[in-house]
Amino acid sequence: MHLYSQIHSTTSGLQYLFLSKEEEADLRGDHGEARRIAMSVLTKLGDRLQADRLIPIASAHIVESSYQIACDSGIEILERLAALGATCSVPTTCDPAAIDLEDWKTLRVPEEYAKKQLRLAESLNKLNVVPTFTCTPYHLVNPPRFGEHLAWAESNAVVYANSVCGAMTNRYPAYVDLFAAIIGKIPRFGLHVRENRKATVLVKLDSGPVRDSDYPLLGTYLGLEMEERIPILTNFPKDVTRDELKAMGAAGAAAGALAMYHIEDLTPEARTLHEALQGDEPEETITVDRNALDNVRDKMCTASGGNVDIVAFGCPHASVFQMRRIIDLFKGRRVKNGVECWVCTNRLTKSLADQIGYSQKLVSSGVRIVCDTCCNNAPIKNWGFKIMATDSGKFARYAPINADTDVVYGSTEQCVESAVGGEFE
Amino acid sequence: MIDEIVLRGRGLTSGLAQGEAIVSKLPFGFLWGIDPETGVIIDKMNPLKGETMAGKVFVFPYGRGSTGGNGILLEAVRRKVAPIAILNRLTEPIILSGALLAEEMYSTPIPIVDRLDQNPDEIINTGDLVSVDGSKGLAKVTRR
Repeated sequence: MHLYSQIHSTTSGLQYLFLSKEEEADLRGDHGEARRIAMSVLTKLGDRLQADRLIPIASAHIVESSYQIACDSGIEILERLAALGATCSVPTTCDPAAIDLEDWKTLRVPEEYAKKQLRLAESLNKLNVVPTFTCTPYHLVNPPRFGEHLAWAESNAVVYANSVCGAMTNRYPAYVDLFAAIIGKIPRFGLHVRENRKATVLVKLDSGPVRDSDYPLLGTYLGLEMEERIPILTNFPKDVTRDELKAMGAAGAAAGALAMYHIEDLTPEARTLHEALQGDEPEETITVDRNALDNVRDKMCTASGGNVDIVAFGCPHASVFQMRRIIDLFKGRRVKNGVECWVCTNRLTKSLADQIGYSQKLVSSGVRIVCDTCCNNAPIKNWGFKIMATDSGKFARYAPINADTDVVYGSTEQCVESAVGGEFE
Repeated sequence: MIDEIVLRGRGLTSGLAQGEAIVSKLPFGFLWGIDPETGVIIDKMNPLKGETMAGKVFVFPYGRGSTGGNGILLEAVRRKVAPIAILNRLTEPIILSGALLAEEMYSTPIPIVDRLDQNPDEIINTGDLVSVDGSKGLAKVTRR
């Protein structure tokens, strides 16, 4: 290997990363300028991170689909790549946009802003990115399989793919995701390496009965405490739903840099404690009790309650099962006048909800179904919201910054009651 | 008396830059961290809020937050309001890819040096004059 590196460094300046003949040809530009650009950034990044080689990926999920992240430079870059004939060579889905692509006017998005997002969407189509505009690709058209390598960039999806599915991906930055999709490969480092997926912290859950609103609290706790470390959770409820795992991972990724967790006898790389710890003893053991979760809740809230003017669901994007629960909790009642209640989701879930009558029920309760985007992505400061109530740890972390509001975090039930009564208790 | 310190570390991206330092003691994320149109820090939690990093050497412990942060850094590059060099304790892929993209897409090198022999956010003060050589992994600090 050392010999390869030495030979290699004379041709392309790379110290650690070994390239095949075919990959070197890509780097020289033999297969076009788009592939050269993609390979140039991937190999430099991989070499600096001391990756030893490039490995094939099964899929990609990209985040520069939002104009909020892409900005005008993103439009330029995607249009340039599209003009150069770039195309994704593996199944590639994309994160939410910064507007509801069909209904941006009722979201009060300025026309100039909407036009830029629509231009970005056009380039995504040309690049062969499937326009899912969702942060939950794993529940829809891009479900990862155990042991597959991925290049995913949406932080909650990275946690879900690694932890729940047992697929392998790092938290990729914008554009690296797309370059990997174009080449169909990613440098091998971090969580692509089995040994680096070892749990080093044993987290014992000792909170008494676990409620639905505890999962985002637990996720936030992990995000704040783990830093780069991977936990193995024990004494964890076996009846946890996929939506609850989704909410927990999203909160963890937003609160810190959580990229993976194990749950004993539940997630695929933790059939036993021994397996998740890869035969070693944990470096640290932590017990999470009710008090720890209450402290996390206090940290997440910037207001203590009172009048709310927006109630936000659907971060990550709501499933039809979560919509059903919200409908049940409304019990036919309506959102109070002067309060906005949003359920954010993707167009696939919305069309299913239309088909089974959920959309109509939500709308008749005064709920707004926001598609393709969410409160973290859309420019909603101009609504002038003051206090947001949400059942999402990730909304609680980011939406107040994006929407310039205070936030109260509560259960789905508390949030529905806030929407009906206009007050969070 | 001029006090000069030379820090040696790992050069991650090449390029030469010299300018005033702006030093964050806190980890930094670019999404909601800066206004990409002006380079001004907007993160409410950061004491540097209201200061600009345009044309300066940005020193912070390490990157954090959204994986889209490099898109914001890149927009600042496009508008010529980005930092001219970056010094970290440890640079993670979001920041590193932002600099690689700046060079590839906008021919604007942002030299980054990390793993320096002293923590740059502790040894460098806002306002110090810093010269960065990305190829050699060097940062020369002159106290102001």
